[in-house]
Amino acid sequence: MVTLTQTTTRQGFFAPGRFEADVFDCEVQGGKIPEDLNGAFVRVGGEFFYPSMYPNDGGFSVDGYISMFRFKKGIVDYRGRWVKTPRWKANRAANRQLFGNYRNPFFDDPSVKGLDRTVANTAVVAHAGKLFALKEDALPYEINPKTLETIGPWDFNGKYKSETFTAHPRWDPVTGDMITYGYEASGLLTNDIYVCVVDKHGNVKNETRFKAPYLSMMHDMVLTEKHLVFPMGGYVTNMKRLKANKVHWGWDKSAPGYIGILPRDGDGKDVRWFKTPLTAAVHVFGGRTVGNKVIIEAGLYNSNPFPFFENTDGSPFDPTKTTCYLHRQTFDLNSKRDGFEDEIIFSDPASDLGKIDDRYTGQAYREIFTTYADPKRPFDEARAGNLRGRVSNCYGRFDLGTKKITPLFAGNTHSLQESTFVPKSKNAPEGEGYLMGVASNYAEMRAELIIADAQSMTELARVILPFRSSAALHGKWMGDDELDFG
Amino acid sequence: MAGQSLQPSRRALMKGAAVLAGATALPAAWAAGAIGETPSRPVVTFYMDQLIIDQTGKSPAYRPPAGLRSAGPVEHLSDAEIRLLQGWA
Ligand SMILES: [Fe+2]
Repeated sequence: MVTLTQTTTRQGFFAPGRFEADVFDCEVQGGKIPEDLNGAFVRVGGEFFYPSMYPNDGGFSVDGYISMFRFKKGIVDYRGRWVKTPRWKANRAANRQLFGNYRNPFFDDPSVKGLDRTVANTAVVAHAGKLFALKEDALPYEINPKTLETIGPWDFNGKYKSETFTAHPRWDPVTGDMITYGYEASGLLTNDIYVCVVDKHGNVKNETRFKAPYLSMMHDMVLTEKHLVFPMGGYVTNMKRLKANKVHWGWDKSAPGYIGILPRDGDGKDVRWFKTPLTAAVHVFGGRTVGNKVIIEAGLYNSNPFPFFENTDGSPFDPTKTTCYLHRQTFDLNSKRDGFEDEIIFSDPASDLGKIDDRYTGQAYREIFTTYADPKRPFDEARAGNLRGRVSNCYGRFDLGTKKITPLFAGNTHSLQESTFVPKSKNAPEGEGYLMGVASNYAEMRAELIIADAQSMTELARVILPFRSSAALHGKWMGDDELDFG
Repeated sequence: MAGQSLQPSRRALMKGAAVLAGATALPAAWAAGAIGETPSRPVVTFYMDQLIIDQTGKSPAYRPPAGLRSAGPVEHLSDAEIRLLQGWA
């Protein structure tokens, strides 16, 4: 028997969902599903199936839950399943939470010592015909794309030589290679980064290692035609923290930020580190190499955005200080300095959870799709709570050429999750296709999948789920040409 | 009609029960909080599409929607219309 204490932060729309689900032929409102959308919008996120063992454990420890909207000839089915990791199975067998704080194994129940602690809750990818749920503390977990049942960890036939695998690998659109990495690659508290190239058939074809200036979270990277770019900094950890039963990372605002640039034709010893006043770099949109310059775009927070990673100076997390702006950073490889140019390219805040048209990975691109909060839009506080100005209520197509934002407003009781872009066809111009993403409808207590024309940002149809869907972190469109969804 | 007024309708009972249940579940900070206030003690607030406890107390307190899971959305309907909506009613 489980007791799910009704905490002050798990009420109403935010209460645990817990169930697995199948909905066949989902209700569609406002239009028809385009018949050229064949594949699935797959997302992963989650919630604690059993409450956390310690009160300071947070959102990154929630049990993974993978779900998909399966599109086939104008019909959409929904499926949601827990990612059945060894951790999830052990908890279920014991009917309670056996695992302690985020990436801290020292206070787990002794019965699970040595067991893989990952919850595989961060991102999903498809590569070489396989579907994976990812979390940066472990190997990828393979998932059956037809059933969404969990198959198990995958080490690329023993050829992938890191204990960890990022949630954000990147793809070379020309070769189909997956370029991936793991930090803390040799185990807990190690400071080596393992970089690996996996060809389009799933075979490891190249690898290298290097060390960071200090051990820190390295959540995402940029792939250009010639370089890999690794932002890091601010998040710190050590054995003293872990032995004091703290979560893996603390936020040290006195720690410098770094950006590592690794030539794709070099090896680990060729990495060059640029230094920056500290901002919190979590996600990056993309970048390119132009001559001897590397240029990236990213949403950067002016402080740590995660309340469950406490400040090392003892001050409380302050949510009013975590604004995210879209930046462009330019690194001059000819320069002898360790500094670089940084400009804010849109004056209004927007989310770092944005996407470009993946076919332009590594090259110049013009459009970024991301979410933002427009406080001037209406919000029905009586039906959805006092969240006016606080919800992400718009998707935006951010045009880097004109600096114009084309919005799509989700509704006056809605809050948006991350979107995904689907090209109209393989050869369609950049940004021509569909944008889709899930909106939480706080009044109707349900999830709604918005499908829009990505150029005009007009809504084409909305898929209605008759329940709240478990909050997802990242999602991705995967076409029928990538995976066999049945 | 006079006879009906002596006996509360099903929807009136449902609404009353739900509002009562909601009221008892509300932490005091939510009931007291309002946008613009700067409480000096921890406050439940909305952040990144979740509710969190803001230890600084700087954020506006979250107030859930009125009538959530209550009969609010159908209170304008007649008893007959409700019977049509709900086969079991
Ligand atoms: Fe991420």
